[in-house]
Amino acid sequence: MVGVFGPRQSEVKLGFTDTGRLNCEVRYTSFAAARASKAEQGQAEAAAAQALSQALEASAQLERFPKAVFDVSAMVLEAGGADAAVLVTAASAALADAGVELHDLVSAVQVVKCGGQLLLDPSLEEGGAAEGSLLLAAMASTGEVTHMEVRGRWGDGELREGLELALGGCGQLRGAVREALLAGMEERAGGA
Amino acid sequence: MASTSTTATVADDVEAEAFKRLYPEQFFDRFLGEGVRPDGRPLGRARAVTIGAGAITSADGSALVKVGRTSVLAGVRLELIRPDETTPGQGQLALNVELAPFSSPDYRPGRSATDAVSGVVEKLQAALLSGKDTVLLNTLCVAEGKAAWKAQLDVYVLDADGCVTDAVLLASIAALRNTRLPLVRNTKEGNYVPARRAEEGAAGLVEGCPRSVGLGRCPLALTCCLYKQHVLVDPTADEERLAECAVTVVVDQGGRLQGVYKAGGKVLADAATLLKCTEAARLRHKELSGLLEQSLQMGAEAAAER
Amino acid sequence: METDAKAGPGPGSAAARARGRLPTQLRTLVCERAVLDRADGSAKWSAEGSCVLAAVYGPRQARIQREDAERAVVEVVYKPRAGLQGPEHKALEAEIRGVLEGVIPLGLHPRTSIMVVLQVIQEDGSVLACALNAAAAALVDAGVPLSSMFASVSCALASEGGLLLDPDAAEEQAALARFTFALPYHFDLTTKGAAAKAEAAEGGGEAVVSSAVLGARCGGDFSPEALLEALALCRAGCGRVAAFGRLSLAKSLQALGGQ
Repeated sequence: MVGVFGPRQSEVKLGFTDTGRLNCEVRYTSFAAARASKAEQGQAEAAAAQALSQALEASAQLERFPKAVFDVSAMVLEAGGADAAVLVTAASAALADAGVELHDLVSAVQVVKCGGQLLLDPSLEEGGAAEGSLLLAAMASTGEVTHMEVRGRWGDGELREGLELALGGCGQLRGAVREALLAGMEERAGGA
Repeated sequence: MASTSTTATVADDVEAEAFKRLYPEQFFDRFLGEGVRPDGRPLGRARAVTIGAGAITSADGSALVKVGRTSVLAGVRLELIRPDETTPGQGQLALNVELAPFSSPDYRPGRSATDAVSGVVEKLQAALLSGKDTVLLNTLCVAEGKAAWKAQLDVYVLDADGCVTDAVLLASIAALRNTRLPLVRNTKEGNYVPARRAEEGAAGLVEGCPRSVGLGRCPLALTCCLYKQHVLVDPTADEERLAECAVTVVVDQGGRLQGVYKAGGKVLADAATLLKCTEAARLRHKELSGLLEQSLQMGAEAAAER
Repeated sequence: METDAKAGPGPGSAAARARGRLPTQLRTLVCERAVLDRADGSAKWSAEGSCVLAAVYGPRQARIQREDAERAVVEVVYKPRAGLQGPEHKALEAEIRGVLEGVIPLGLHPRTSIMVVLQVIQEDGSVLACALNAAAAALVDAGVPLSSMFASVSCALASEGGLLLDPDAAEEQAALARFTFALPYHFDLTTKGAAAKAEAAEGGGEAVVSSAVLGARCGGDFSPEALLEALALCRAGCGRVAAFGRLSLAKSLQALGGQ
């Protein structure tokens, strides 16, 4: 679940900037995933927030909002694999829903390599057993990639194959998100 | 012709919205004068409720509750512990309520969200733990003095649109009732560990270990707002802000009161008003407990299928 | 400047309470005013084992984050006797703030803040009632205008079924349910005869306690009937607290005049 607030005035202590900023915050519920300690959870939250802001920054037309801050706060209710990708997709949809001007919707997918096979959108068990993983966030209509994270050992051909698979996934997702946003708008217009 | 009428309604909408913002009291009074509320409800009607027991599969017990637009997610995590020496025959229940950053427009990053929910935590604590027979902690005990369950109940307020206390309490009760305690195995070294599914029926299982959290009562809450001479049942956040005076009543299944809270405010509540609120809370309890049973049944069926 | 008054024994069966107190009897009240130099107003309210010190600052310029252009904001800080503030103390703060917001005409002081700091000095049951009474006395001492006075009293539903007014910690612990009510009151100086007026001017007279509740905090296990009984008992108790409050104020004013 993701919420967006803003634009609002940036805090004085951060000084003047002529472009807007995205302020991302990610929280996991305590029962979202089995984790050993609070500290570990804090680390995971910080890392997810970092990845999220990197993936979104390139898509928002921040130069149109000088001195402004957008707060993007996300909460992971249940983590059943590929949560980073879902986070990015949901946050981008929330930005669009808030009426922030974007170059394009960002959709993200995860691909894992599992026993020589490439799997799109892995479940928790698949993700745990994987030898390598690839997280790709892209603006599907322009085909531009905003964020990419590769882990594990990938051969040249494998990587190319994985990227193509991921880009295809992004395209599929973008369509679904677009439809959901349109449906949401229609519902609101009907309700008012 | 059609287009002109649409533009007229759009203009009306904008005007109504502006009127609501600028003169909230007059806006509200116009509605109440007609005996309805801005969302179309009569004064005494509570909002529709949905309860999704077992919404989160990775938790040991969970429930997603929506009261109108207020939505609350409660989850239970279990852990085997050695019971406290002072209470060898009891498990433990820890409560925690958190406000999600996007739940309310008043939230600002960096400010502690605990302030806003401290009242809710305190009422939840009172409802679940202060009475000796609400959550039966002895049903969390596996082997006296040796092993017991510690249930960590975390409640996340996802969207706060009035009556957060009521939704939190309902979600907590539903999550606790949805919780299935796993079987416990006694290893050769004498340690107690939770048994995996495949090991059911295997040797070394502790006999007669509890399977569910015992609840002696089922307390549920209803908040009413007092605004001028009106009593508004189950107010939204807008109504709560305007009325500045709320009465929260906690009742159990037998209609006995577990708590009555009124935190000051501009309006005084006489005995008749208090009785009206308690009566409304009793009726609401009947309505909710039916829904709760239904949802728990569905949750249990879904769990059995997995 | 110290005054105390023993509340008269009420009716009811003489159950065994500490120091031979009757079920409907309040503990001895003591109220000291203007105990702190640097605060705008202060008071120390004690009921034997329980004692709360209240300080009022303001109305003064509100901090920018809290400022409200149309009304004053009330801030309450509740400091427990020992240890750090927990969620239960935060909840008490919110409760006390709500009650004070109900009696202070906030619209009179826009863009200001009225801060009430409550320090619990001794804790032996009925602390919330004690804190509310201390806050009321301190607000009067600070000269903050109030639309109405209020008094607060606790009672407990004993396990044998009877109600005990102003319970101490042991009684609260053993009780099935605990009630605290804050009720507004005033002194009626208009309808009575001249004699009654003269009596009232000297600090006597009956307080008229409203039957409507300003603040309530009840927990435990009880029936609606018990709630109403408790309300009636607390109302009677509030009448006595109100009379005491007036007497103590009159005496402290006399002491000031004599200086």
